[in-house]
Amino acid sequence: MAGAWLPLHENHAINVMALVVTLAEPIPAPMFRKAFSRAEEAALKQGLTHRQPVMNMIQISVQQGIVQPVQQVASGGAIFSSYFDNEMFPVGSPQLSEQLQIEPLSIVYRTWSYVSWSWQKQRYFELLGSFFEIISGLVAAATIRFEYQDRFVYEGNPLDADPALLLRKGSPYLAPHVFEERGMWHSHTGRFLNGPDVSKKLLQINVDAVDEGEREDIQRWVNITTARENRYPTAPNAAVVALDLELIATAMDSQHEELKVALGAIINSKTASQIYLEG
Amino acid sequence: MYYPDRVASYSSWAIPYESEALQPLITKSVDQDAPARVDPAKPTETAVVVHLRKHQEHAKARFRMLRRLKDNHDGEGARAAQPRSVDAAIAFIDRHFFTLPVLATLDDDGLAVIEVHSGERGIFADMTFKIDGSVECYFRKAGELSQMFEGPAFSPETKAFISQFDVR
Repeated sequence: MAGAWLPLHENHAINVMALVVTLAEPIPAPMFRKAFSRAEEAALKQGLTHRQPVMNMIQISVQQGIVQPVQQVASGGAIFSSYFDNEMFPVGSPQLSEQLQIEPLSIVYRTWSYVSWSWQKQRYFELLGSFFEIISGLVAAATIRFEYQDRFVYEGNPLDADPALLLRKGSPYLAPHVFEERGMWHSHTGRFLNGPDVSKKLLQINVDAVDEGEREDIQRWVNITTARENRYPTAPNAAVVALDLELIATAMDSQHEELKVALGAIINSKTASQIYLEG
Repeated sequence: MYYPDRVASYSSWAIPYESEALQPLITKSVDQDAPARVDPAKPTETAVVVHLRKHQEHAKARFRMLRRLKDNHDGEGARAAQPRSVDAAIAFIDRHFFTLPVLATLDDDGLAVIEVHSGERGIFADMTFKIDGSVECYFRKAGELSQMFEGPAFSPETKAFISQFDVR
């Protein structure tokens, strides 16, 4: 008897959402310190209370032919994290709920507790609105990237896991061979979309069928990572795009909508209905 | 730091795509504020979270379903679900661990309500999530006076109030 593909959650499949903003040049130190303190205040207030410095790896040659072991140096940034309730987990296995990573060249927000787009967008600006207000218009954007990872598990023998029960045959984002596969497989693709402004708009679709678990508990999972990235001009003498709140908000909204459409083109209608992607 | 050009890199067959943006970043605990229980080698196991929070997951799923209800969905004039209220309830469930089963429902104004009850312990409680971000809580225990509380949903005061009946 055929099994069925189930979303990670009862009626949605999002495992993690990430928003990444990178800059053409590091934020000048005095400005970064001021903006960082605002973000730190917001993060702690919003429950991201575990604070860790971001460490960059460097190697230093001490004499010819001999290189010191990798060393860590502080980047000046930090990671703020929150975890799911401790009570549920044994010591040693905390489960991340949200994470904010702030450095002079990049700002990353990740959540494993996706609620809805309107909720996440508001939360993003609760955490980072005051940070971006300080650097608004004063630094050049390099990229704005939005990613989702949706996960589905096959309830049944992994060797019977028919991708057609989950995915849309004829999808432009899937390699045709995956529908003949009953083992593990990858299907990765991407392209640049046309757009009215100067940014290059990258769409990436990476789908993997992988087995997880041990022995008789092995389960077949399909991970669907969809990403949209705006790349702004950063070459010398190029007309750069100043980063501000409106640029980020506009990019995020359109990227979110485009990723919804892309996911709808990857999974079949039954699955889309199951996770309320349609309607 | 984050390297956009490395995002698409992956190395070999049977290793799933792992976007750098989507990976939790856990550095070595070089400062004392860092959680000592973090094991940098251990990945986030969302599936485990889902399993352990099964009744809460079910309540969240029900709220996601209720969120789609339109005006007069009950034929008796109930208002459509208020998305902001429903989203707050979903986020609240995610941030708290209830030992008792939680039930998800809407009131006539379309506001999300979490109900908690235990016949065995003689407990009934509900929490109504307002549009302005506050929550109205009611708690009754057999043989004791009822209690009411209103405050910001995500505040220590709210957590302290509801910890009386369930949340740890």
